[in-house]
Amino acid sequence: MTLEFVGRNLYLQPTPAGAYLAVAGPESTPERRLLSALMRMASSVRPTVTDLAWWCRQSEQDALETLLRAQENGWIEGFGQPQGPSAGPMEPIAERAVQALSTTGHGLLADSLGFCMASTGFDATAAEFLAAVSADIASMHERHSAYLADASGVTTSAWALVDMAGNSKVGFWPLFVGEHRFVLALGGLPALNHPAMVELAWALTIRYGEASN
Amino acid sequence: MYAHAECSCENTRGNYGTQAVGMQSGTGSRDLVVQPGAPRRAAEPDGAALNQWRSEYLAVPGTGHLKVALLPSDDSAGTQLARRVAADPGDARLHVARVNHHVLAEEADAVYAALVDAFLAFAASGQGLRHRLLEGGRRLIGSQRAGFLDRHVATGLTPATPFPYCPGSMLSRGVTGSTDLVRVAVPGGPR
Repeated sequence: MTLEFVGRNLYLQPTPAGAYLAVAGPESTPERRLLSALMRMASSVRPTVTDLAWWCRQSEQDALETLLRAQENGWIEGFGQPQGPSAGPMEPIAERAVQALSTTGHGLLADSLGFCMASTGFDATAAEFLAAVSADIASMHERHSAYLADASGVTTSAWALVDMAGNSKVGFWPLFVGEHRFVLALGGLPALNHPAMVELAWALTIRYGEASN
Repeated sequence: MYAHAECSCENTRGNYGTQAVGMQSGTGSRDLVVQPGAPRRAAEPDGAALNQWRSEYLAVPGTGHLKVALLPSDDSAGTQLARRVAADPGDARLHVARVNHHVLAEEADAVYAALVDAFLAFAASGQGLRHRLLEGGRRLIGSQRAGFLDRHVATGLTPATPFPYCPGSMLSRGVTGSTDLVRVAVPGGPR
């Protein structure tokens, strides 16, 4: 199968699902490398096949196959104009994002030490508590990740507090950016397919994703 | 549907004959036209009976009998159904129940989100289900959104199908741009 790159006139970037995939786990895959590379620049670019191969660390043909998988799974898209996250400090971007990513407007972003970087909808005490819990959950998952993957057959690293019916009251999604780990905690229904997911992952990657590259 | 509807107004002409002036007061009846086989509503139905009647006869035609049991939860029925669709996208009953729930509540945006998820769930199969659900929600979602779904009744939506962000959709990947980036090259084809 020979593949042809027909999107060379488009500025490529991850979709919300692709942005989440890029930061959802620490394992390096060609898809993750491609999507993360697209978020390392301040705005989207029109890559060449050589760029794609470099980012995926694959041959040009293999990189096009990676791009095809990303395209078919709705992880990558192209626009006629360059796009990118808002410039400026991280906090307002994160605050807007966590609010948009929950249908009830309850969300927070915490770092690996349990410090709350942005919070909306939760009162100050709840936000501090959830940020601390986020750090504990993330480190617990890391300690048991190999067993969890084997035992449950599920590759997700997200956790949730659930009610009697199994419905999540608060969900915790670890975000792996470079050597850093953050946790996104959301109340209500998550809306990780919201465009804010792209802005959040992109802004985090610009600031914290350089170490591993 | 109109051909099968029947009028339930009873002997109205006779009343005019005996009452020349004035109007009768009372609860009256709103069952003027009903579907064949639909039971008449009681004059003063209790809430549960009314909800039962609504869920069976105002739902997407032919689907009112499909029920999904909901567990005790703080979440609303709509939220529970959304979660269950996300957990088990291939269960057609969940999609039907979710669309019906929002149709009965006349929640236009939620109906559209439920329809989008039903269109995403079954790829090329499920054309009949998609058509029926779309017809049931068409009145609420408006012509522009219905027109978009009309174009995808036969094929369904794929993860790569771009469309404007749809709040409430659980299965959408959020694709809004072009996903025609790489193609299988055809030997001798146009470049």
